[in-house]
Amino acid sequence: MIRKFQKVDTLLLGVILTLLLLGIIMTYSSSAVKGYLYFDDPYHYFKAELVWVALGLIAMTVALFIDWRFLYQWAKPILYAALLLLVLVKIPGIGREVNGATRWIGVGPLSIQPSEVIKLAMVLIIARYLANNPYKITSFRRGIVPVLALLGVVCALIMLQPDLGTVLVLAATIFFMLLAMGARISHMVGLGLAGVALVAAAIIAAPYRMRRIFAFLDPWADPSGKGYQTIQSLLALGPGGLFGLGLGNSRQKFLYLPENHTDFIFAMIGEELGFVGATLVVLLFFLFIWRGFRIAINAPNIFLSLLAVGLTSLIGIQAMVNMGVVTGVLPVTGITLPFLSYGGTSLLFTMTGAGLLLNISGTSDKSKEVI
Amino acid sequence: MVQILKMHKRIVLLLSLCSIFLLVLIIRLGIVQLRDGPFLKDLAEEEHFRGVPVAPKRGNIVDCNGNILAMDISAETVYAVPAEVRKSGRQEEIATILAEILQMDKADVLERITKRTSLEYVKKKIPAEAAEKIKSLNLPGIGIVEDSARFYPNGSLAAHVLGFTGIDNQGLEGIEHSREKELTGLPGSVLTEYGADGTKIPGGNHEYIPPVQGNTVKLTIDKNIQAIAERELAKLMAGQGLNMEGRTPKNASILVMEPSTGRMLAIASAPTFDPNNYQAADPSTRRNIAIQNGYEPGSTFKIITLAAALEEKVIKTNEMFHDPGHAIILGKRVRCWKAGGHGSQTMVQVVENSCNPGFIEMGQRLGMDRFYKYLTAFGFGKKTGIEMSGEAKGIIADKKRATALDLATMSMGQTNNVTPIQLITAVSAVANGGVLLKPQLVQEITTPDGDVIVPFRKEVVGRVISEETAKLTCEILESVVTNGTGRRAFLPGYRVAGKTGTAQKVVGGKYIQGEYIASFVAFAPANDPKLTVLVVIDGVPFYGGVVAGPVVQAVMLDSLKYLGIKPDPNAPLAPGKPMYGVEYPPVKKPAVVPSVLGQPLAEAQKTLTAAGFKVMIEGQGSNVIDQIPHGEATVEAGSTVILYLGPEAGEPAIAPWYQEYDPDIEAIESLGPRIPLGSNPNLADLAP
Repeated sequence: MIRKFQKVDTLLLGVILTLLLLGIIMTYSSSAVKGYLYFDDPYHYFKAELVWVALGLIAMTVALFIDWRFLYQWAKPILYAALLLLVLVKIPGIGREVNGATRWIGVGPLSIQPSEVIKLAMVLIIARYLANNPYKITSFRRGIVPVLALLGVVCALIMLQPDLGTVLVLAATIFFMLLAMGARISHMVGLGLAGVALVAAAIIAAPYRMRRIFAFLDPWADPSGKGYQTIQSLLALGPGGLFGLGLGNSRQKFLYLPENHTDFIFAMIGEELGFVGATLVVLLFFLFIWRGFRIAINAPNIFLSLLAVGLTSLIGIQAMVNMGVVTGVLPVTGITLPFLSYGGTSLLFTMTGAGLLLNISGTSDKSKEVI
Repeated sequence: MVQILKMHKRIVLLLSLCSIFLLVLIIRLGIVQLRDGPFLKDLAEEEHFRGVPVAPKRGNIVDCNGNILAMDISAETVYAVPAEVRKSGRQEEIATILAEILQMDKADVLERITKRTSLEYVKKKIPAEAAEKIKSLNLPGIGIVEDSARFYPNGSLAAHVLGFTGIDNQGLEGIEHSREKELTGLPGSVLTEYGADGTKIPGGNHEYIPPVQGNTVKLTIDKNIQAIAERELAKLMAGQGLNMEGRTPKNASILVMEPSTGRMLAIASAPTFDPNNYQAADPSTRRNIAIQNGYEPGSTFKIITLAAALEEKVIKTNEMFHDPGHAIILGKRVRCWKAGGHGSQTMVQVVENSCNPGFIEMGQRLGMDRFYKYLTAFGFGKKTGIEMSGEAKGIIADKKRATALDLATMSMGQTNNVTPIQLITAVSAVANGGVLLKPQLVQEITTPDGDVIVPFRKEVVGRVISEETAKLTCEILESVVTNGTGRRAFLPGYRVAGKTGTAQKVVGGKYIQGEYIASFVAFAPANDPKLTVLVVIDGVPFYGGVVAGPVVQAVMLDSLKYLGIKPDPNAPLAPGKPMYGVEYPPVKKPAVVPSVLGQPLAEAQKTLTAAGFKVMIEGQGSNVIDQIPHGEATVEAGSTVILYLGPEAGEPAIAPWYQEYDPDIEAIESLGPRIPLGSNPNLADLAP
């Protein structure tokens, strides 16, 4: 099951390592105050971050050397395992509740988020399904409906936690994969509209989402309530200006901006490193997406191509949504910024996905590479 | 293969979609960080920085020569940052320590230092040692900030004008109150960055915004002239006033004005208080009687009647007027203060003698309309607008209801109620050539560095009499001091113009006996007046010229000398006629008159006869309601004492100056050399 070693996309690897390094530095800078206040140790989160990065690097390496055929063959069992975890998280005593949402399984630092597992499992199974049925894609009923059915079940399970952010990222990723496979544009537009309707329904079902959505449109309407996070995020970005306050000089990290080392790490980057630093991060993600899609195009078969599209989309879309939230152009959804946010399952599985992407890059026929 | 190529196109489409979104993100970052950056930075700093306000120093109040009358001195204030106190977990201990040092209640301190605010004052204006001690203890969340306290280096000098400030250094009365805006200044602050949990950000920025001291208010008051006036008041209040025979008045005030500009050089009222310690003073001592008290001015008001009569040309200075000793108005006999009247005299002599029938004649010739016209024009019945709170308007009799008798009494200064500031302002209008000015207290407003922001501006209310009339009136008034009833204010070498006044006091709608408001208004030099001085002494059994004259004389002489105004070589060195009472041969065999006020007639007669005095009886009734001379006066042994009888002591049935029959005038004449001063107390005006 270990593939033969071939040269991987070094630019992509460079981008990933750069993001990781920046993540380590920024996590420390952002979490030192909290670590000191809550654990009497400014290095508390930093140490954990180093452990997660180490674990992530191991996972990435494993993913890098895994034979793609193994993944192809094991796609279904992996999906079942992921679905099982997703169900387990809702069983009292197993799932752990944080901030009103049950997203974790396990205890303390060893907890994992099943939703992170299911994202990878879904990309894998959809890539396999589409690759196996290349001509069904133009048929809505035979090609797209089965994908949507599975996606619907999975999304429903994730919404039980609830975790709207992950659902949106996953749905968009699958949407990208269908588009890449060649689904009819009319079908996709229809799906898009249906998606919007679904989101609307989800919002109406749980009014707190409604408040969140409208809060982002005018955060100043309720600065200490619904608009608080968005405002605090903007109050980090704004003072950053062009070059930032300097590494370690964030003011918003003094408990003004909640989740500053996880979901809002991008705001910290903007505050300490300024417009220059934040733009650099955006450009790094652009490079990541570009290289990811390039790998997809140059992949030796449809399965790997779709897998690359899925993995790139998964990470790229999550990054875009996160940065959109931080800059106040998207409502607060509660998802992390890949590679940069403080550790956890998110980092582990992001790096696994990145490892797979690098893996695929090593399978391409160099003589036929395009873009 | 077709499928693969389609996939490539689609992936390029996806890359484009992502690129567009990323570009939008960069633009958004530019908007937030570059365009809105400065605005958001201000907002963030507003959130991060918490300021300990630093009170500005209040502006100084200085006199017209820049001498400091009120200034700020440093004081220190203890404050607490409750979040830090709570975080330290030592609130009980801190409260105990602070309560002991500051001598406060521990529960009170604890409540303050744990209050749910970002900053709380514990105590203001604490002693320096206490501040030093607290600083050295370095308690968590407790700080000291420099504050200031008001200090009046001259104590009670000009206290009523200056006013005072409260615990937050806010002006409460006087100029401190009226010029609060100019004096306050801008508070500064020490800004420190705090985290959302209310604790200081380690290595956070500090910013000191220095407070801006308030502007300086330069008064028209001259510290030295004010001091001269207050020295005279102090003498009066200590029972050392000249001719006061050891008595102290209820209150007194002295005003000094520069007639050409309306600038008040001194406004002194007694009793007074120390603004440094105003809480300890009896609130009644804080009343500025020069501005807030109305009184019947008596003969000082005759200046206005005279000016009006001259302006309207209803009298001529050389015109002869015969005073029979009374005037009969509406069937009532209004007496002249001089028994038997002044006989035949010129109008100038009428003024010199303060002859009541003469002034009644002037009032009658003016008539009601013209009299009221001048009354209003000279500013009576309305506030002068001087910058002092609580200024009284005075009360002038309703014109619609005024009778000929009212006109007669008003002409001699009775009936109407005026304030000292109104009177000095009106007399200054005569002195300055006929223009009524608004009395001013503020010379100018300057920055703490002395740059003038608001310069002095003379405010003309209006011309009330022509320059010629004013000049003529001044000459006549000069003659009053040189030759007439005002000789007590005569200054050798200076040309002084002035007029005495003695007013009866009205209590409960009735004139009370034996207690007067003695006053004197004068200005000098008469040909080019630099100063107008008004002295009002309330609650004395003496007459204006006798007790207020010498005060005017002292204030005027010292002030003229201080201002460097040289004696006029053409001015007389002695009054034209000997002064009553003073230049007269001294009493050969002095005897003290016993007071028999309120006693039954028989008892009073017995007492007086026993003391060797002759007794004359006036009026009907069983009790003595007044006596001339008054008790304790020193007169020639064996002279006559007139007793006024009434049903009950001190309560004559009607105001006595128009009793139908009153022969006391002859009696006064017979009383010997001291008595002419006294004349008739029932007439409001009396000589010198």
